Amino acid sequence: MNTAKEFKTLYIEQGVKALQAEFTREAASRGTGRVFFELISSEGKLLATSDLGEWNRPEMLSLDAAIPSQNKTFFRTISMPGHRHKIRVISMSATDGKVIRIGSTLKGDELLLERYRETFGTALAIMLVCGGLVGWLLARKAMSGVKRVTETATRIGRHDFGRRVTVTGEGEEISALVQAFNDMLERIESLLNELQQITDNVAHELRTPITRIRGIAETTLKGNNGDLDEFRAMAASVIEGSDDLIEMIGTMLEIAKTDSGVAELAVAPLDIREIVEDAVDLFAPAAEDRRIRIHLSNPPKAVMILGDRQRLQRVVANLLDNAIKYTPPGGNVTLSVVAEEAGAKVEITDTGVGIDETDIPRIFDRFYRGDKSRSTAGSGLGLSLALAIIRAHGGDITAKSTGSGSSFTVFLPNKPSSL
Amino acid sequence: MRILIVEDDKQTAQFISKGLRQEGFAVDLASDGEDGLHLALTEPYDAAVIDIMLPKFDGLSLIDEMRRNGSEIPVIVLSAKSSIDDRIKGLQAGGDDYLVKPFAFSELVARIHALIRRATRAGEPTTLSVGDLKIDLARRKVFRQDIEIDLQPKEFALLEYLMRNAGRVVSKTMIMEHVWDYNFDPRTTVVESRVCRLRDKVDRQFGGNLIHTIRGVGYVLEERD
Repeated sequence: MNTAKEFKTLYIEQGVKALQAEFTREAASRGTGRVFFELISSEGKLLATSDLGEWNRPEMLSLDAAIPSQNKTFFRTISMPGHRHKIRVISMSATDGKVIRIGSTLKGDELLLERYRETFGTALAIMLVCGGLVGWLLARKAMSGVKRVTETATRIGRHDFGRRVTVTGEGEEISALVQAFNDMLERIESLLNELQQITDNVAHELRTPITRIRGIAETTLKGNNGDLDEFRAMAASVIEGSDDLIEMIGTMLEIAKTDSGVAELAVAPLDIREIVEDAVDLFAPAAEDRRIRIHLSNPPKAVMILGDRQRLQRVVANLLDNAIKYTPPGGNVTLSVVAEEAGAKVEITDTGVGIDETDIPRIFDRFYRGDKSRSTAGSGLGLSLALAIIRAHGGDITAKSTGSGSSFTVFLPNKPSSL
Repeated sequence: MRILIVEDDKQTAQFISKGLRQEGFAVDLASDGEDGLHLALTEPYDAAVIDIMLPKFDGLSLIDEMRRNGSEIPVIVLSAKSSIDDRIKGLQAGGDDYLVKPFAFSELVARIHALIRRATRAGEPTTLSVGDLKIDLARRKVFRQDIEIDLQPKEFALLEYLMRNAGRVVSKTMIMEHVWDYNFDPRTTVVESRVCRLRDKVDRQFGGNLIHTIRGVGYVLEERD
């Protein structure tokens, strides 16, 4: 463009001769076959040119039939037979309808582009190969974790529930998967053990009362000679025995459901003092009949927690019932509610027979009855259910023998942890 | 009072119908959903007891179908599952009731009476009386032979519950549920002790016992010769 302008100025100031000389000089200085310069008349005749040796004239003439009008400059990129590279042509109008035309091969530019393509192409190829390789290695490493999980899952399908997936350093996501998987296995295994235990216990614990019920019915039927009262007593015993069984089955299911998390807690805000007071009110006459005094020490202000009212009623009733059952006449049962930062504590202490040190770790087991409790009525499920309910609330029950009785402490968090 | 029972288990159906006849109800039995629906839509019943698991179509569909055909018979649903599913809750909201197997027969009877009472919209009485025992529900006062008896609130609630079900046996579980709002039976002597105390105040000093124990079943408040 600048060259064209210089040529134009030169032509206007010094004429065709000078331009011709400049054309030749300039073309030579740029190298053979790389540029051409022309001055064309308005009729299309060549007035001056550089050495056109390799340039194909007819092609070039047909290229620009319409000469650019006054003061316009045209750019064009063309292909020309015999030239491998494209040619850029600038046509600039000089004076009197004459046109200065400069053509230059784009060989240099194209070569540069080609070099770029080669360089980047190679780099890209190397990056693709490396990236692919690294990706494949990473994926393989990650998948090896998944593979181990799959293998374990397959084995478990064949009843090998004790298996766990080992945690190795495959990265956070896989470790999380393995952890979640193992937690799930833990749960399944405990549920299965639970099921097994329940089945065993049910078989054992139900046989005794059923045998008793059947026995009562059978002996009454065989030995009776029309005594209606005896039949009445038998029917009543059968109903009582059946009710005990129904209650026991219900409690077992309730424990299993609560333990496994299948039973959802009907959680609502409640004042734990009310539950304790209601229980004391409920049991007062029964305790009085046994000449046992119940002492209640509640804080003056409400002790609010989030909990399942029905289930907590059951826990407190169970513990209070036990305290009264195992305390001899003339004894005392003391209940207290304490508000704590993280929740509420309910303590139930009695002056009863106490618990043997060796029994303490086992009293919450299903159907477990210590030597001291064996002769007292009960299913051996009350404490298991109480513990299951309190645990479902995210709390805990502890028991201790005080030397002059037993003491149970229930801790309930403000809010079940599952919420 | 005429009751429709739709229950496919023959023994259960028999013991329910036998028991209800003893209580003075007229009872019709259907053993599947189809027969049940036919009876419900053609005969006038005061209440229906419908099992959920039924051949042909289940109890809840039966009730749906009854309602769609304009039947407003109050229904007690019997269910073997203790997990109260949402549909039963829905039924409950609609004014009906449900009972989980195994149930105490006396509870079924009490619930049927309650349903019929609700359906006939008998006005809420302000006093209840059995023989010479009277309770004034509005003023929370109890009289026997016109002598006022002083009762604690829970004792009053217990007596009121027995009076409302006068002549019908109520089980310990029902008492726990209605008087103490406990939905389980602690299987201890709590109710016994309570009833014993109530008896001391209501019966003993007046002679002529009204509160009777039916061993193994529960309690009934009624005049006996």
